Amino acid sequence: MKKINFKPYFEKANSLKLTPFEISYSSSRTTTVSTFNGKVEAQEIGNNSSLTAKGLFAGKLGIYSLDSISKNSVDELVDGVFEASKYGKEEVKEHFYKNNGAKYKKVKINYNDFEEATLISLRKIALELDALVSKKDKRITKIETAINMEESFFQKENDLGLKYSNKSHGFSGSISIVAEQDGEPRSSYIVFKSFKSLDELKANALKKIDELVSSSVDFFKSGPIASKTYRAVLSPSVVVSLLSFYVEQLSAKSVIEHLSIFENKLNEQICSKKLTITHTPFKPSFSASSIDAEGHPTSEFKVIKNGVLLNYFHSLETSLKMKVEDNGCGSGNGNASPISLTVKEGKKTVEDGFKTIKNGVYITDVSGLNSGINSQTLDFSLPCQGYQVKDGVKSNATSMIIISGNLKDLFFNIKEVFNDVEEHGGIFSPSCSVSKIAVSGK
Amino acid sequence: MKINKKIALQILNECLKTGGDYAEIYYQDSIKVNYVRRYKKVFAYSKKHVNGVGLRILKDNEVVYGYTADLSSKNLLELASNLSMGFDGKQKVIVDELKEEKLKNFNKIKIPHDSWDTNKKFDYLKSAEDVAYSYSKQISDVSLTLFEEDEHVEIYNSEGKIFKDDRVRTRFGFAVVASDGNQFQSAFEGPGASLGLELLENCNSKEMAKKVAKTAVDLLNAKDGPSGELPVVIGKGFGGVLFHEACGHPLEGSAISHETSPFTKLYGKKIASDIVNAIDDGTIENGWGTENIDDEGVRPTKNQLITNGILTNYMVDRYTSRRIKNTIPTGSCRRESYKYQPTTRMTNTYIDNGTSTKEEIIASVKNGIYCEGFTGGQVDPSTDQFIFTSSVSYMIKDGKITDIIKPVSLVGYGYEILPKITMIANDLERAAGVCGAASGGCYVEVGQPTLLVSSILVGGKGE
Repeated sequence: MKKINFKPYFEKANSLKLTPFEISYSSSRTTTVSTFNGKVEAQEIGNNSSLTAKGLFAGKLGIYSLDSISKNSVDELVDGVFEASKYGKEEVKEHFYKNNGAKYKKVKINYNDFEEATLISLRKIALELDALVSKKDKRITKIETAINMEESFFQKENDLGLKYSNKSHGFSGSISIVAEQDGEPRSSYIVFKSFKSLDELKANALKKIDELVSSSVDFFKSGPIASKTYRAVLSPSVVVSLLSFYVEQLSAKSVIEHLSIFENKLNEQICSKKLTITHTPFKPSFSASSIDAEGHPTSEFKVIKNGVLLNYFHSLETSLKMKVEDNGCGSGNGNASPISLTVKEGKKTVEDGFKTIKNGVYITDVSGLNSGINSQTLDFSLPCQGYQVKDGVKSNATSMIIISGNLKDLFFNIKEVFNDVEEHGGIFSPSCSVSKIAVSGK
Repeated sequence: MKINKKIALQILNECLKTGGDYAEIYYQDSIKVNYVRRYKKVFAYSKKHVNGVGLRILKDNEVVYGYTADLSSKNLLELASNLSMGFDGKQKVIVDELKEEKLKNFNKIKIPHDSWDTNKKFDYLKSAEDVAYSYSKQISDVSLTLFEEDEHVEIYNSEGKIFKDDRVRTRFGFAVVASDGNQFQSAFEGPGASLGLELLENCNSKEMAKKVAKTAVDLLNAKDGPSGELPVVIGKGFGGVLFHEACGHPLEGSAISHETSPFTKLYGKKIASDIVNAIDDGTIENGWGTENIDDEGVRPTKNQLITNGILTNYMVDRYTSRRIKNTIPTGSCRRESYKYQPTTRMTNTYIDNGTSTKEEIIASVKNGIYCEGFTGGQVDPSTDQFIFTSSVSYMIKDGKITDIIKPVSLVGYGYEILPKITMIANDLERAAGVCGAASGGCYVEVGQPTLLVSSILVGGKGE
């Protein structure tokens, strides 16, 4: 994966008076091996490439993208932008990033440690993990593993001084299982990753295998609990799932368009005082990035401190309109969203949390997020599973229950934040307890 | 044709040199255009050219897949060679000739996308936008989208066949947000079809705008939905997402072949009430999910999945049919693009008409809910647990529709719900959607008449 010489693209754009003009190139090579019940089932080699350009002509924005790069790409891409600009959105040049010497801070990942693997070694690890899981419990009847190696390259330049490129590598994997008892199937799923090597990937998988097994076999013969309002502990993955929708409302674009419930709430308490959330784009995760989608350097900043909203997420457009500094969260078309977030952990363990709520429910998994949360209103109604908490101890499993409410209320109702931080999709969070949550069950 | 026959033959034979028993080349060349009006102005206009090749090799129960956007002969042959290394044997199948097969055209287009200029398309969106904003001062956001796709697909396989298909799709999306200062509520409609711009001409966009705006405003006054097990009347059209999630996915070859579906080994057995007839029909003229050939070169079929409550077929592809006895590919192997290995997916899937009327069904419910609109759903194929969210619902009290209620989730197991369908009306409608699964986002239709499920777990905030 090599840099592309963008010079002919800029020359052609300049000849058409398309300026500012910005071009991004991304390419990746992925190798994946999948197994099912101890046998390799699929092997895949993927070569991705994509060129996207945007430009301004007579105050209007044109955007065009293509996958297949050839000698014709200069004409296709630049002419495509030019044609699109005739009908595009009215735009100003200030919405293109002008680099006046700003530096891109490096993410905290040492990509130089990367140990490239072969297809044979990917197969070996996938089969080893499959075999390890199968020995864990005789009730496991189906095991699917997928091991993936990815190398990627990204390059972005414009005619206002933006010039950025970056290479990254990593391994990721997943295991899903089905366990069966008396004809009752239960499934569970884990993902794991490493920026370094297959050995580290395997070690990371091994740390999660017990959780994988218990997340299925614990739920045999489990069922719904009674419908009512409960005190609850939400696992890290559940907090992350809910938080990812909640923070969409902190986009300055939504605020400007009067579509956010957090409009005019800066420096006001919007959630529990127990919550402090920081934008952490350099922290190691697959989401980590030095640059946002507009080419602006990303930055670390407090979003919420002790429940008080300190910052919205900004793009070039929103920072100009609100007359504040761009904090590097531009996600395209003027929108803004976080790259990575960290919820400040507490000191207590999740077991302490069970003791505090004494009787309630520990929600470990939610599903149906795509349809079960209204991102506009933050109303949610989601099927989930977890455990009952009885006399301060994690107790019987429960499933086929629905939690419902509004995320704004839920995050106000957080009583404690624990110390069991996990990362899911670039959001780092521990589990949290809430004073009440409505559960539909039996 | 971007890949000539000679090169295609070389690629296929390169793929097969280590003992693969089937190989195929999938070539895709697609232009996708998005027109968006929002905030009372043009919000986005963008074009995307998706162009690449996927190569697939099968050997017994194993598959090797690779894709690239570098369409040079050298690169394609190199990819074929690398993929063939996934197996180690001697060549068994040799391809020495490729011949193009004729296809029936299910998707005749009257008004191609280039018949209207771009301004006319944005004007069309604007006229609907004006209607929505004028409906009420409580309308705070209106977003209109027009999506056009002109796709050309070519498939070359080791059976010596070439298939070529031109796929034209149009979708009109209409999203409205209403606010009363304290809360937001939203509503959406999104008709789509394998049609050209006649979709827009046939669609009463102003009426639709009014309907969507009214729904969003009405929801501002909606009460919290109930919770617990209740009789649920599922509305026609997009209500078919129930069947799509609860039954369609577990009847796909990938779940059946891994025996992770509750319907595995139930072929010929009763899985639903007697009145249920369900079909996946890839041959519906101009259907949103209709293609003249599927993505592995198998012609589409009208596949009767359930007949009078009895499971009469699965949906399978070349790969999964190897592992499910006595099945042949059903012409429903699909993928979002060349970047995805294809697998069995639904096309246009619906529950067929029954003999009741909607009025009879509502009158039969003493205390339940009527779910008219849905935002979508999902299912865990291994357990068949589904969730789908009703965006527009009403209480039913003593056989009459009463108050509108806020969105509620419906949760259950497909195999438990199907026998609980006790009444089906005669007002079948189909609706367009995008289904996300293993081979990416595929265009599908869901559909059904109004029907009654005797009880489903409902998750509302109220009592």
